[in-house]
Amino acid sequence: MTTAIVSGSLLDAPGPARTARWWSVAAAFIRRDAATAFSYRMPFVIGLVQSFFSLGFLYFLGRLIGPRISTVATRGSYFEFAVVGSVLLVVLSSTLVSMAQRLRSDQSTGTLEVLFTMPYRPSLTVLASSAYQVLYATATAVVTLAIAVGLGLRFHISPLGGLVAVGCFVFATGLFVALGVAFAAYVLVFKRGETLTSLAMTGVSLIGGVYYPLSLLPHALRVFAEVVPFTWVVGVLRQSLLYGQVPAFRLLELAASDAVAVPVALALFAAALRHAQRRGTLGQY
Amino acid sequence: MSTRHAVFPLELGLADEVPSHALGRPLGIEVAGLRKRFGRIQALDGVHLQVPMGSVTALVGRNGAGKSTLIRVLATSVLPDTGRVEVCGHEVAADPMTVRRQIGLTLGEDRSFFWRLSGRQNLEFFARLEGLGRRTLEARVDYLLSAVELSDVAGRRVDRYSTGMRSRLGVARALVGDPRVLLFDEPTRSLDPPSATAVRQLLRTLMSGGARCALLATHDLSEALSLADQILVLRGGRVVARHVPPFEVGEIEYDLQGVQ
Repeated sequence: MTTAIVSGSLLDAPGPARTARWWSVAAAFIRRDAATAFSYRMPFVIGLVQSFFSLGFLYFLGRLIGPRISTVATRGSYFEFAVVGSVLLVVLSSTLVSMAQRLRSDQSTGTLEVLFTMPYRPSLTVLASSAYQVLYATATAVVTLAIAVGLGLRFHISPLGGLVAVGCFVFATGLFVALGVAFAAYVLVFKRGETLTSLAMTGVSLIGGVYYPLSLLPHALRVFAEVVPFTWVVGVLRQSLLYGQVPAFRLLELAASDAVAVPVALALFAAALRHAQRRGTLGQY
Repeated sequence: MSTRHAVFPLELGLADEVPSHALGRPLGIEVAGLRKRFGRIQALDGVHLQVPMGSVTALVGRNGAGKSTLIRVLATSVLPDTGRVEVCGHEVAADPMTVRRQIGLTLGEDRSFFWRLSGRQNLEFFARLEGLGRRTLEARVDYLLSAVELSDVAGRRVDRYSTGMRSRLGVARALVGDPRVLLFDEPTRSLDPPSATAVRQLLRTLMSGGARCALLATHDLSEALSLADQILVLRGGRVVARHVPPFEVGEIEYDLQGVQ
């Protein structure tokens, strides 16, 4: 390293070619997004309050349904059933849509083209740009679960079941990151991706088994719901956190899905990027 | 770094004069036969150019001549259709990652910042993406804010900057990674005369060591005349003329007008 670099001046010859580590890139994006979020003080606070209102809604809905119905319909307390589903929905939906949202935002503000000329793979920009939102959603979920415990949520976990739950969450995040990258690829080519992401989120709410059991769905819709990854994940988490079971086989299925989905999504993104570079549309919105 | 050296004008046959100090120096940029088409528009139509280290090349031309497209191809954000395009000896299409480690880019887009963050926060963010460690980062950001005369407003949010301030911040951002090759698309377009002079002085200083080079797209002929070691006139996606010092302003203006 030259003296000029240490002093910050650029008067001497350039230093060695730069390399950015993935974790320092991720940390930079997290700092940027945290600073941006805190600059909007009220929406930040309102977002937190909103998640607690949702919890209250589920609590009173659970009291309305009562134990007689919920024991049969949801194998226990409706509140517990719905809290696990909705908390997972918040985290995984954030993972799913945040990359496309950020990429779209960077298209609109004109920063995308500059970010994609930084000295690392453009896919890292997309992944890192979602890190803050995913961490924020995860932290909100943990706080929400803690409050839910105060409102009557009871976990029934074996040590192995706990491990399965953690593994399930990690693999599920990987799978939804892959889907998020695919959404980002869509936005890179077609620009407006909001309709697609909101459609996906509404669809997951409808058939993901978040607020009611899949047995209520018509047969055709249920068959479809059972191949949607979110449905597997919420099922595994309920089994391991609420019913004391160890659905290890589902964990293997999720891991296998990650192994296929992540490289496919990255290849899709690389193809979308090449398309945008060929057409010269990286700087357009 | 490539061992290729400046060989023009013989290879290109476009001019009789060569900036004597550029001969024999390694090339920062080498473009040969570059073509790029967007739909029906032939944006670049067989561009040839060489930019030796330690020199500034100005691209001048009217709107739509292909200046920004050429800058974007070199910056790896637009893929060429055909031709050889190298930065420090690395082909942009085949080895974009290595090329990105060599370049500093301004796109003339004063909106390409995070507007809720301050000027300093924006620079620090991009410095981290460039892989700068904490100590180097702080010193470099301080130096650049001072160099582009933004130290006094470094803590102000970018949405409260004037257009000229954002342009200067763009220049600072391009330099934060200590690049070897500067790709500047109208860096002084929105600047008042003293600020534009400061940016030009900074560019001159950076070039003086001979370890960097710059390609500067500009509509400001006086800027090109004051900074450049060679001026390339682009028209219809082609380099139609190359001028080297001592510049004949009338000839350059004549080439710019495209009178046959």
